Amino acid sequence: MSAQPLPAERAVESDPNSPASLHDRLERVWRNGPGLWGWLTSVNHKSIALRSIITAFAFFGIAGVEAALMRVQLARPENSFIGPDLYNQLFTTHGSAMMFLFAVPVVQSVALYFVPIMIGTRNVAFPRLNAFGYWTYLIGGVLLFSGLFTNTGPDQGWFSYVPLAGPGFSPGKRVDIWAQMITFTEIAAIVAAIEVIVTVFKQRAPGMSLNRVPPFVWAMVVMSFMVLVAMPYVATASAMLAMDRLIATQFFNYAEGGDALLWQHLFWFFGHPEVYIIFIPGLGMVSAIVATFSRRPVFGYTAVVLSLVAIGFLSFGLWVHHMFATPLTQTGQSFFTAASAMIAIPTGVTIFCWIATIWSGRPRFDTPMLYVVGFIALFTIGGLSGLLLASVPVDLQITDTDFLPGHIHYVLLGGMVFPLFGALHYWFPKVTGRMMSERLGKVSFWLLFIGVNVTFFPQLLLGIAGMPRRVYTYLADSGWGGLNLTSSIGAGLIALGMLLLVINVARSLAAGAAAGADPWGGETLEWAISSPAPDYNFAYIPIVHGRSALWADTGDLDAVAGLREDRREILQTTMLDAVPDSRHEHPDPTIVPLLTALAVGVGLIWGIFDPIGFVVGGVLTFIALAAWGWPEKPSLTRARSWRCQSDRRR
Amino acid sequence: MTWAGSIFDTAGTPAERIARLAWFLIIVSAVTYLLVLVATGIAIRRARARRTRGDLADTRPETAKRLTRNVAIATIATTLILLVYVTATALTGKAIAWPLNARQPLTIEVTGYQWWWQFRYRDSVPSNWLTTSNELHIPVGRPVRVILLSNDVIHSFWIPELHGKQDLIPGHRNTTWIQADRPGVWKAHCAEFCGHQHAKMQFDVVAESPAQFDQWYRRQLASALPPTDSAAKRGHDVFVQRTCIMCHSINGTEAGSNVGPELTHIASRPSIAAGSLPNTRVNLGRWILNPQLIKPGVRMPPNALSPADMNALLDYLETLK
Amino acid sequence: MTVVGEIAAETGRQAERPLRPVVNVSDLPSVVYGSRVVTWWGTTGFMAAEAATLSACVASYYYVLRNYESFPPLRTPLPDLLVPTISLIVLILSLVPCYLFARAAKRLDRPATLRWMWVAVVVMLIATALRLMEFSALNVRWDANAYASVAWAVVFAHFTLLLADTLETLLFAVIMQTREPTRYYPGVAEDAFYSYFMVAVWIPCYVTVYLVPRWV
Repeated sequence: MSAQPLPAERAVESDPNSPASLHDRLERVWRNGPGLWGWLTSVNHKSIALRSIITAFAFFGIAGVEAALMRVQLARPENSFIGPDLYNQLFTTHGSAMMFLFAVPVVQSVALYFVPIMIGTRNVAFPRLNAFGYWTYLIGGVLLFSGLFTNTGPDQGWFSYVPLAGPGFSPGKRVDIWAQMITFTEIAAIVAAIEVIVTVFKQRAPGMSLNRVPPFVWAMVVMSFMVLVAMPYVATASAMLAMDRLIATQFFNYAEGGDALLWQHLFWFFGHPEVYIIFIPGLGMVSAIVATFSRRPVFGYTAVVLSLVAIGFLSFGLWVHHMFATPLTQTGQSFFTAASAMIAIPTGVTIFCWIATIWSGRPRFDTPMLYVVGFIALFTIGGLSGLLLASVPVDLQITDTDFLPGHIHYVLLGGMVFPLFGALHYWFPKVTGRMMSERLGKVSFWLLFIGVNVTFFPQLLLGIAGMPRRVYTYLADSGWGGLNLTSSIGAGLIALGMLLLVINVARSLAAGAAAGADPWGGETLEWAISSPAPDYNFAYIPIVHGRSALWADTGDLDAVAGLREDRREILQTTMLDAVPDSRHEHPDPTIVPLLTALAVGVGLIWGIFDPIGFVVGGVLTFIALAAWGWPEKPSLTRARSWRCQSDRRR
Repeated sequence: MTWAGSIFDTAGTPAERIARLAWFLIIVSAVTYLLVLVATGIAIRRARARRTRGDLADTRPETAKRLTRNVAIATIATTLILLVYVTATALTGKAIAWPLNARQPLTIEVTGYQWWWQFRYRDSVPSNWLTTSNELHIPVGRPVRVILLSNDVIHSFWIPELHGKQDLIPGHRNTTWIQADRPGVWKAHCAEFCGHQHAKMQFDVVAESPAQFDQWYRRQLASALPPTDSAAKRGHDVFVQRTCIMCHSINGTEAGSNVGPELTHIASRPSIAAGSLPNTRVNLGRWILNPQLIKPGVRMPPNALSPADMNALLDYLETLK
Repeated sequence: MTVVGEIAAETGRQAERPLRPVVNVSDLPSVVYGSRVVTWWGTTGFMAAEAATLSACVASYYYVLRNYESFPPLRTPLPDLLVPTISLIVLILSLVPCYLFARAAKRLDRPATLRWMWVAVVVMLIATALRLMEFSALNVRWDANAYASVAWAVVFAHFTLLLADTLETLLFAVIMQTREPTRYYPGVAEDAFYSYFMVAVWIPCYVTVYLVPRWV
């Protein structure tokens, strides 16, 4: 009674009724279902990634409006535009939304869109898990802003220090909403990280050995490993905070042996790698753009990749530099100063390599490349201001002042948002088939570049001038009015630049110039297929002969045939050298990931109000997961071919 | 350079050493930044020339070797700058540590409350311990050991003219030190977000000559004199018969609660409401009537007093010099 | 000239790159085991995240320990050793049927796989019940003090792993019993792989919660 393949499971010749061309056959198999149901059940990585990017930008927009409101309030001393309670909710949700609902999701979604195409496969490794990740993220984001719009927005700061955030000083559900938002976004981030790692390790195109993997993909892999290790720390910390508030645990209550500093250690052990989780994908995008627009592969491939890995590792050893004003030993402090300084070395190496790439290239300065130069100009200010913060004596003067928001916005805007906007202009043609307007692109770039400097350089100065951070107002005789007003005007410039960017996107979607498959003459595999990409990505899986897949060959690309055209099938290759190893069937669109996310959502949200919610949610999640794992009935109309490892041995 | 209120407006040793280090690091940063911009600019110009000439990108091995050498030089230069940075930091760190041979340090225990400051001077003679609120006096030239405690959430003690900040963490006993080397009057701000009125949690700092400090100290130690004229007497009655007595203390009266700032010498303070409002009769009246209009969220409730009661109370408080 | 036109003139390329099949992979297997399967990697990824979560709880335990002069705190009893140790032994023993059903699954041996899977399910249900008893063996409520909270945190965090593994094994057993799809055999083998991890990662947790308070 060993496993014999059932008659219906043997290979079947192509059905004479199937569509004629290869493209039509593959589209029929790989496309989403029709209408709203098709949208809800999609397991296509591009569909899911695109909606995730749009969702992230929606949160970015809301958080941006919050920032504008705060800058209006701070434009004059003792302004009464916004009172302290609303202001505290605004800066908390601005920071939380930007970090958890925009920055990490958007870079992971860009990865989920482009990594599979760049490595020559048809979908991510776990299509349904990908869908589940998106829905979970969406629920978390809706939770946070539902809180804000019902005056139950979290108001304790995005890093939620205890005891302020604890049960004694933050009554109501505000902090609990924050803590659960963390849980949702942490699950989504870990899911996306696993997708990236496994897809890159197991599904690369034949011939794409590890040393031929594009630097953008390497950056995403490094970032994903960091997510796996760092995110659980913030989730554990937020769970402990929620438990202190809901079931009277004493993790952070010093009166019962707990410790406020335990929160800080747990949070910042996550929090410092978090900013590199956001920054490293930016480096990946810069690599991709610099190579294409300099018309040569990135200089120092090995150095760049090793530097990315080094940054990933080192970032886990810096977290105490957020805590220099707490009681710590001097030796401890010096160690973290030195470690924080050390991470500048691999960061510097990557920037030097890109400058060398430009130096020896023949660059074009279309909008994506402008954003790269903007990145160098802005991020370096951010990094150098970071060095000032890493030096303990100076830090004790400027930490917790407006210098901090100045620093973080330079590194985040310069280090991630600028590369992201460059990537937007760069990859928009691939996603939509249309070019963005270069004229509007350049104007919005300059508005943003000038705006960022006018907004945040004064904040560096304000910190030095003695203005603390997270204040809803300041006194007239402090002398800080002028710099604050300047900063607020800069915010207006940024808003204008963003508006033009949105207009650019809208107009280009409607009437942008046709892009064709390869408008930029790029070196990586996404430029080999049509724009927009077909649902199946590649009609045949390409074979790669060098680091720059498209620049290594000039004519037709060698490819691999033999994957089924009547089922969703992908090719798996070995980890080191990408030798074809096995075929794997992928699931069809299904509603189960959405149902599972809803079950998790019910459990986590109900649980804020009553612990029974966790039990109910747990049961529902188990049922949903059982449906997920349950095998489909064998179908007589759809043939399968299950060649087993043991069959091959015979 | 003195930019009033900034970290460069130094009035004491730790702040001076830090300011020097900060300047050094800022200059090093500015030079580094310029070098990066110049290198990028040269790269762009060279490469643009290549494009104008019609040449392809240069991927020859000789060029790669040259570029490798340049990247290596830049990396080594970065490492050296960082070594200098770490050394300078370590040296400054040592220089600003608590001077172990400090003669006769003053010890002050600071307790942070949402949203005001309590200062307790721990004199060597326990009966001379002084507790006061929202106004810190220190003698010039004498090191002051500061013990940092918190009554509720995390706050941060920061006088930029004197030293960097240290946090007040409930459950922990943190310490720092300050020393003023010249007289001055400064405003200090809480520097760790602590809730609704973090923005207006300030205190006044006065550094004065040792003689003036002793004089101030002795005056603060003295209890409040009983009121002499009838208006002030009525004001005293308002104070002890209404809600004021539930939170505030005035030495020499029945009022002994330490929920809120102590008020024994309130009339001598330059500001009220934790340093955020100048101490005038009008401001004091507005504050007592409804603190929520000035510092929404503060723990002090509104007090509906009749104008006569209010005037009497203000008269009384004005006697508390 | 448009940007696209300029670049096309420069690179001479704009259209799709035609793909020319030179290799045929239709004879590659589709049922493979171990690290040749993506789900092995996915499971490993989740293991990494779960190990990080447990390490956060254990690190918190040691951090809180530093706050106490006597540990466990005064008037807090030590956790029992009997039930937790029996529970640990049962957990380790549960790996035997796991190993056996994984081996049977690699051979595509249905009867043996099913037999050992059901044994594993029973043993794991016993382990789950014992773990529930362990909570009371801690001899302290989670809200008594910080020591109690971190001890409960470590045990509870791992309990979620144990529960997930038990339910997963149960689900696979039911699927294999009722349907026996060939392509599920690698998943079954991987379930055992997850069990090895789940038990291995419990050992430092057990030492931390039950032995360290006795040694400190």
